[in-house]
Amino acid sequence: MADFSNLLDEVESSTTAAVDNPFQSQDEYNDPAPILQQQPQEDEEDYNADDNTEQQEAAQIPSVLLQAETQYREERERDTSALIETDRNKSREDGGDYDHEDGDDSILSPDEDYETLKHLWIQELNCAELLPYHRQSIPVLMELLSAQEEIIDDLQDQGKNSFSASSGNVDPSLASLAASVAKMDLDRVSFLLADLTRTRLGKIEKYALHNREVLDRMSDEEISYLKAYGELYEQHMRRSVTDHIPKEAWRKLDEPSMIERPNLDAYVFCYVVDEDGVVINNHEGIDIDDEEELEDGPDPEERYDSGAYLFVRYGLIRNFILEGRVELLM
Amino acid sequence: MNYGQKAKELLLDLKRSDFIPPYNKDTVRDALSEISLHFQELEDIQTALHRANPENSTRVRVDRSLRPPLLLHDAAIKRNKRCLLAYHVHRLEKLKRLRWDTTAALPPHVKSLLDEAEVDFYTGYDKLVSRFNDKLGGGLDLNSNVQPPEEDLIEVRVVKSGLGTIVTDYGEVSLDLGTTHFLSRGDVEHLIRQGSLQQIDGEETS
Repeated sequence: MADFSNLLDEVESSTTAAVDNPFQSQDEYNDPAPILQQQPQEDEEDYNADDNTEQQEAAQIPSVLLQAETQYREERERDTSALIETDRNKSREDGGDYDHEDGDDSILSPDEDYETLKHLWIQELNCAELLPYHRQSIPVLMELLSAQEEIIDDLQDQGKNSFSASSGNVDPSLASLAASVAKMDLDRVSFLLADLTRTRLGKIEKYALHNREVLDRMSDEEISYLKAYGELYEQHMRRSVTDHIPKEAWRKLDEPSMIERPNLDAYVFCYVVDEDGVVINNHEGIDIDDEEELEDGPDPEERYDSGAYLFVRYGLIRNFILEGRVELLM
Repeated sequence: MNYGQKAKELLLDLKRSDFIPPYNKDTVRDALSEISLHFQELEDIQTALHRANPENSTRVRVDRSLRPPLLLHDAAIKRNKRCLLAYHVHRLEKLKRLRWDTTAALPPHVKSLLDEAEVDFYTGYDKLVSRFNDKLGGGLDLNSNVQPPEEDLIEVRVVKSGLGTIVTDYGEVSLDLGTTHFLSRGDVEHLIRQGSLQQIDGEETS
């Protein structure tokens, strides 16, 4: 059995040479970087060799995997940059806008924004109470939406005009394909934003009296919405019921027992994100009458490390969620 | 004196109907007058106490035997109030749901079920939500995109007549009764919600 690290060195030194590879000849598609396409196949051969190695070489396998991964990633980056290059070439006439948006936004940054948005949406859906308004991302996303719409309109125009003096380099069918893909993306983001806003409005309305105390969790528009809604509601109640009740004392609409508060005892699925783990006191927030039970039972405080999935009472992890150390799951 | 019977009737009314029953002005008025009756009783007891202790008008020493009626009447008033509020709140919730589902102005068959105050509430709420919607920016409309987007183009069949034509990105489409079209979702979503178009799943059952 050959020494494996030597095999690897051989492989690396031979990547620059054009090795006759049976897989490549079948490809009609002209890949601009044939050398890059070789490497995964050669790694495949290495993998086959892997299976035949003895256990003593198991320690070296992870490094092979690591290298394969970096090579694959480099190749993918080179492919995507090649894509950006071809797109740039195709739309040079459009001025800076198209390639800037497409190069950056369609590959990298909307994904981050989109992930944030999706994360916010999932948290808001599964939480009984109103979560703090994400001042950093939500307005940015809204602007992104309107920018996207313009791009789509541009793309659609390009799709329709086969002979256009200004955009001679653009392939119309490709542009309309890009337009429909971008439209789907826009629809996704619109849906998430709309549903997030609707969920928040629903919670604001449902726990309107309670939310008067947590104004810091709402955006300015939401606060004015709450006020207007509260007035509308109160006015209707007064007009229909309480104005006809004799004494002032019975006319109150916001006695403590009348305020509906979000149910903090609901059970939720969650996931510990914080690397240091969290310590949860099982007895937090509930009254335990029997002193004996407290002493005999298991220790109420338990530690959960990062990566743990839990099914807990919402009240226990409430603070962790607000700090971001624990996340809610769908 | 029937303690809370009228209020109970109101609530049963709500329970028996799908959407909302017609606003039962008479029963509401009866329940309110019950509250006044209870209050009257309380006042009577109070004047009786005052008469018993003329010199001690501020701190009335309540005879033990008189406490139960006070508590009872107070509880009855609170109960009536709670039932009345619940009746009105439930109806408001249904109205709000109607607004979010259809985005339309009040259809006449619903309007006939409502009290004047409720009509005002509906218009006020409609205005409030529309204003919020406009302020959102980014071209976002809270009343569209209700379902997660699945396909971009969907097949629809026209079930109501007299819709005319709509303008899509691909040109004008004339919506005649019984015709089927393959259109982009954004253009037809509001029509589907109104019920003028019907989405074809691809599984023909009828």
